[in-house]
Amino acid sequence: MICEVLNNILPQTIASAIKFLNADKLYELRIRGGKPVSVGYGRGYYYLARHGTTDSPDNALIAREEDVREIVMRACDKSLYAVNDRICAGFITVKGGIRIGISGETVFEGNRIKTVKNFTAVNVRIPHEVIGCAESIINSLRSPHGYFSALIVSPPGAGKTTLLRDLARLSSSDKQVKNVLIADERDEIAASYCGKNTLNVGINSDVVSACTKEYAFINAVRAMRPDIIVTDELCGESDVAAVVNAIASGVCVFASVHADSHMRLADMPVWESALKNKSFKRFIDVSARNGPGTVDGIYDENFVAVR
Amino acid sequence: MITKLCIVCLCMTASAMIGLAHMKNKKRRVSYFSSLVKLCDKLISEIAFRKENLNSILKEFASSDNTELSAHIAAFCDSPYSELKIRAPFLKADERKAVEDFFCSLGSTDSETQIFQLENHKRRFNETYSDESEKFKKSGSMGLKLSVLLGIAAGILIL
Repeated sequence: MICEVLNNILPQTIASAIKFLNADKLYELRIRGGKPVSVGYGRGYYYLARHGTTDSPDNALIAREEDVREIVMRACDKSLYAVNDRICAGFITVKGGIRIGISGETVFEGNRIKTVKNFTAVNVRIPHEVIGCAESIINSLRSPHGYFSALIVSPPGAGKTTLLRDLARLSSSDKQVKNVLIADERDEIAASYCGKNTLNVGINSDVVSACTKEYAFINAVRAMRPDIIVTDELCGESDVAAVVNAIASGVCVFASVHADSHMRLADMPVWESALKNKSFKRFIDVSARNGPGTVDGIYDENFVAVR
Repeated sequence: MITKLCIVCLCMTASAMIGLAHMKNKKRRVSYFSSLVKLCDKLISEIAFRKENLNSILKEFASSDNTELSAHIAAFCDSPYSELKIRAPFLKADERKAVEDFFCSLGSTDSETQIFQLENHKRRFNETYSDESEKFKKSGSMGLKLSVLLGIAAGILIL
């Protein structure tokens, strides 16, 4: 399905070139107007040539200026107004959970971003569902009554979302857990498309997508009565506050944050209250040291290693 | 005598057909612009309230439209990323350009701007629809009658 989606949204030359790559190793495609196309492939970045990868930009495919706009228009199915809110947030998510980061010229009206025009580059991030990748860590999250609230801490591109997705799947099939709510702000965890989850998040999972965490945590919690909430990429005070409130009200939360280790959270003012209240009982440090999804350590609320 | 009567009948039939064709063309233009106005209304309401996918709005509209607009919608949906050139001999050159510009503007901006553009297109199409509708009411059937009379006159002259 990923290949079909990429074929539909990419210009013909680029779509033909990526057919020479191993789809399991392709995780990123960077297209900049007038510049060589580059790919995140395996454990590194390379340039994309007509028949595969190359280390030299001189041999790489050059994206045309209009290719970037064409990708955006195809990704939104020629309905830019329908996804303008997400474009203003810097991304669109398409079928299969493929997230397309967009850069361009922002148009402000008053204090708010009205839209983005004159697109200059896109970053196509390709998800890889790894069933079972959270099996090695889930037992460390078990509590006497279910699970501890856990925070996955990792730099970008290290596999946080893939781990979260598998945690949702595993916990959802746990007999002690009745309901899992996935607050999928960017449609990356469950990758909902036209009301269907295209990635496996478990049989007892409810997905609320394309909304703020605040909305999901307040309204969806009331309506769906979850035992566990799974959400991705906490950033900013409102996200952290929403999660802390949910944990305080008795709901277990699995979430993630961008940082190079759990120790770094202490330097972030926005995390001060959450760390002081010991809202999260488990911190899972993840990196790409031995490939994405490498678990460097699991720590408790006092930052003592449990594994 | 019979030959002459046949000639008169032929002249009447030919001129009636010309008159009918002319009337049909006028009616075609009225229906087309009426459909365009309705399409603008549908797009405005769907985009304003549900931000529905463009293709699905257009296809839903086309399924119940009986004018040439449904063919133009189909051509647009087949290649929405290319510049559309429509075939419409009953439209003037500037009207054809206006319709092509209309399709070109769809789906390329945020909802507020899109609705603003649609309102402008709707205004323009509505003006044309009102003019054509007025003309058709005044002279639509008159053209047919005149044609028939001309046919009879031609036949009588030949006689």
